[in-house]
Amino acid sequence: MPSAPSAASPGASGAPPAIVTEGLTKRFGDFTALDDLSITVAPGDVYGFLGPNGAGKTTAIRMLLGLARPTRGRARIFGCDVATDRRGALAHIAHVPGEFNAWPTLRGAEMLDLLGSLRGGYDAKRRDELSERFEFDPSKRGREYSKGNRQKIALIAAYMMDPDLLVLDEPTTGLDPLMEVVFRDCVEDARRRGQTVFISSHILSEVEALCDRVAILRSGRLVDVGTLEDLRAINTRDVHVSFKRIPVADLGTVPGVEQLAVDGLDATFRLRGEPTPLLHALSGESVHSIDIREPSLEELFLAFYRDDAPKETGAS
Amino acid sequence: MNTRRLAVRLLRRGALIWAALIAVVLFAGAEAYRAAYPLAADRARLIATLGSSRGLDALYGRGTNIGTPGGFVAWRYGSTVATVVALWALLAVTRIMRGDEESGRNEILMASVPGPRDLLDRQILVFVGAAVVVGAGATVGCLAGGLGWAGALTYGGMLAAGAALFGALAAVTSQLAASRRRAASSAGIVLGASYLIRAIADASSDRRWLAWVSPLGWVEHLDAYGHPRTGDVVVAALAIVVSSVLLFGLAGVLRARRDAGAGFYESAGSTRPPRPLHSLRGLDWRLNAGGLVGWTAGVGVVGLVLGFIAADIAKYVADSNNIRSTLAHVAGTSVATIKGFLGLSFSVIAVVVSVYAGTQIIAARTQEESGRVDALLTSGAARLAWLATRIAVAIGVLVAVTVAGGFAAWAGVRLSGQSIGLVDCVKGAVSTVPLAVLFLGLTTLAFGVAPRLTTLVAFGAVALSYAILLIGGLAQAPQWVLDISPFSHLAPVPAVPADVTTMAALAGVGALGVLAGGWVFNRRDVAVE
Repeated sequence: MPSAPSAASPGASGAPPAIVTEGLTKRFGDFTALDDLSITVAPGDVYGFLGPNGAGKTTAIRMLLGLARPTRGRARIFGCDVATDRRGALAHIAHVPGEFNAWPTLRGAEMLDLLGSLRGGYDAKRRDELSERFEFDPSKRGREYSKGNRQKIALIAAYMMDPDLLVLDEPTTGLDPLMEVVFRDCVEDARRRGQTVFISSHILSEVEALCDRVAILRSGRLVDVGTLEDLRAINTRDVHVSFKRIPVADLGTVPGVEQLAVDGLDATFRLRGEPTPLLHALSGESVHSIDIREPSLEELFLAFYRDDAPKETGAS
Repeated sequence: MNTRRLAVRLLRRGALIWAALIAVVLFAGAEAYRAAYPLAADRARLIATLGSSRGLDALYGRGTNIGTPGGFVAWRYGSTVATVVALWALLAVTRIMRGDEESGRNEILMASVPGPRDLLDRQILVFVGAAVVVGAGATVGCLAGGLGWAGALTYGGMLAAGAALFGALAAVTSQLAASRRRAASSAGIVLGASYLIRAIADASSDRRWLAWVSPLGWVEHLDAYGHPRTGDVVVAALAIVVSSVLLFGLAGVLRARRDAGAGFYESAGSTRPPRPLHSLRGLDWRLNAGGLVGWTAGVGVVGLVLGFIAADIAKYVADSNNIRSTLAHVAGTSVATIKGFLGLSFSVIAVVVSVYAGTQIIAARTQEESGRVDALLTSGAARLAWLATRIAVAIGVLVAVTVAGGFAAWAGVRLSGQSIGLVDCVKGAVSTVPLAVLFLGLTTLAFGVAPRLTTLVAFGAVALSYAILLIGGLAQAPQWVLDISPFSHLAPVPAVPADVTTMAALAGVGALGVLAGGWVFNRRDVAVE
C-alpha cells in the first residue's frame, strides 16, 4: 500500500490496531528491562498486561507513551509510530500511572483543569459526574490527598477525556474495595463506548474480572498471550472425587492426572489437558461427588512462574 | 541505623564544611589585617575612616575595637558570618524536621521511635551539636590566627548560639508549615527582618535600642574581641538561651498536637476556591509566584544595602591606597566613586540571579524525578514546550528581579543622602541578566545530557566561576585564568557603559546551552527516580 503514509500492519478491516509493538526492547546498561516484546491490541479490546513487580510492565508502558526510547524495536498507537510521531500517538491515549504524584500546592480541581486543558479542552459535566462517582473532593490541595485520592485525580483526568485508548498502569493502587468497584464499572463503560483499555496489573482478580485478552510478562520477556479461555485451556484444573466404594481403576495411570493424593474414599489431583481419559476411567466407578475447579488466575500465574521455560500449549 | 545516627549523618557534612570555611576566613582575615595595618599609625587611620561610617555600621555592625586584629575580624566578619550560619541553621533544621516528613522518607522512622516528640527531641539534640561544631570552627580559626582564647571562645559561642536560636525558630516553623519550602521561607523572613532591624539600629545614632529587638542584635551584643559591657552581654546571652529553649519547647508542643505530614497554616486557608489553570505558563507562574516574591525581596534588600553604603565605601577607598590597589586588580575599575562601587558590587546581584537561574532548571529536574511532568507530557504537552515555558518564565523573573534590585540600589543611595541616576542603577543591575542566562544554559545542558548532575552544575558552576574571580584576583593570576570565569566578563555598569557585544556573547552561549540541552532532553528517556 504505497499510498498509506503510516506503515501500520493492516488488520483484516484495514483499521490500524490500537497498539502494536514490534520487538520492543529496553536495556539499561547490562540490564535488560524488556526483551523483544511483540504484541497487538485490537481496537475495543480490554487487554491485560500481567506480571510480577519488576517484570518490565511499566518500562513497556513508558515506551508506549514516548517517555522512554526503545533500545530496539518500535511501538505504534493507532498507526502512529511513537518514535516519529509522539504527539500523534499521545493524542489517542489517556494514561493513569501507578502512582500519581500530585502537585502539592495545587487543588484537585486545578489539576483536572490543567490536564484537561492541555488536551485542548474537556467536558466539565463529565468531570463532575466522575468526581461524584469516585466520591472525590476536588477542593483540597495536592498534599492533603491520600494516596487513593491522588489516584482518583489521575483516573478522573483520564476518563473525562474520552480517549481512544486508556493506558492504565496498576491503576487501583491505593483505592479501597468500594472504589475498585467504581473503577471496574468505568472500565465496563469504556468497553461499551468502544474504547480500548490496556491495564497492567499484578492483581489477577482484577484482570480476570475485566480483560478479554492477557499478555503475561516475566523478567522482561513475554511468556504467553491469549484470551483468558486460551490461558485456562492450556492449564490445569483441580479435581476432587469422592467415591462410594474403593475404586477399581488406578487413577495414577490416567493421562493428564498429576499429584494424585488418595485418602480413603477421597481422591484429589491435578488434571492437565482435556478431561476425556479421566471421564472414561471414572465411568465404571461409583462416584459420590465430583468437583472440578477452574484454577483462579492466581494459580495459573503461579504455574507459569514456577517453571522457567514458557509453557507448552495444548494437550501433550 | 537509629534515628540519632541518621540525623547526624544528614547534618555532619554541612556542619563540617561550614566550620572549616569559617575557620579559614577568620584565620585569613587576621593575617590580612596584620599585613595591611602593621603599625599603630595605620590602625589609627583605619579607626578614623571606618569608625565614622554609618554605611559600614549597617553592613557589618558596630565595631568597638577595630584597632586590634581580633576586634577587626570580629567586626568585619562577625555579622556576615552570623547571618550565614543562621541561614545554614534554618535550612538544615527545616530539612531534617520537615523536608524528610514531606517526602515521606521519615515515616518509617516515626513509627520506629516511641513517638514523634521523641524523634524531634533527638533531632534537636543532634542539631545543637552541629551548631556547636560550626561555632568551634570559628574558635579554631581565631586561635589559628593568634587572636586569643577568651575572644575565640566568645566568638565561637556567639555563632553557635545564633545558629541554635534560628534553628529553634525553624523547628517551630517546621511544625506550622506543611512544606519545607514554606517552613524555610517563614523562618527566612524573620532572619531577613532581624538583619534589617540590626542594620538600621547600627546605622543610626538615636535608635540603637532597636538592636535589642533583633536576635542578630543580641548576637552582636556578645561583642567578641570588643569592649563588651557586662550587663549587655548577660542580658543578650540570656535572651538567646531562653528564647531558644522556649522555641524548641514550643516546637515539641506543636509536634504533639499535629498529625504526621500535617501543618497548622494549611487548614486555615483551604477554603479558597480553586482558580482556573489552563496552560503550562499558568502552571509555571503558579509554582513560581511565591519564589518570585522571595527572590525579589532578597535582591531588593541587597540592592538597598549596597546603595546605602556606596558613598561611604567610595570615601573609604579613596582614603585607603592599600585597598584601592587590591580591588583594582580584581576589576580594573576605581571603587572610589558611587557608580564604581555599585558597578563592581552588582556582581553580588549577578551571583544571586545566576543561582536563581539554576534553581529553575533544578525545579524542572524535580518535576521530572517526582513523575509530575509525566502527567503533563502524556496529556499532550510537548517536552520542548514545557521546558521552553519554564525557561521563558525564568528569564522574565530574572529581568523583574534585577530591575527591582537596581531600583532598590537607587533608593539606598538616595536614603544615604547622595544622588545617582535611576536609569544608571537599573541598567547596572539588569546588565547581570546575560550572565544568569549563561548559567541557565549550562544547567539546561546538564539537565539534558546528565540529569543527575543538574543540581551540582547549577550551584557548582556559579561557585567555581566566582571563586576563580575572587581567588585568582587576590593571587594575581594571569588574565587568561580570570577569563575562564564568566564573572570576569561582567562590565561594572554603571561605572562604564554597557558592553553590548560581551552581553550578547554571554547570552548567546547560554542560548546555545538551552538549545542543546533541550534537543537532548527531547530525545532522552524521561526518568522517574
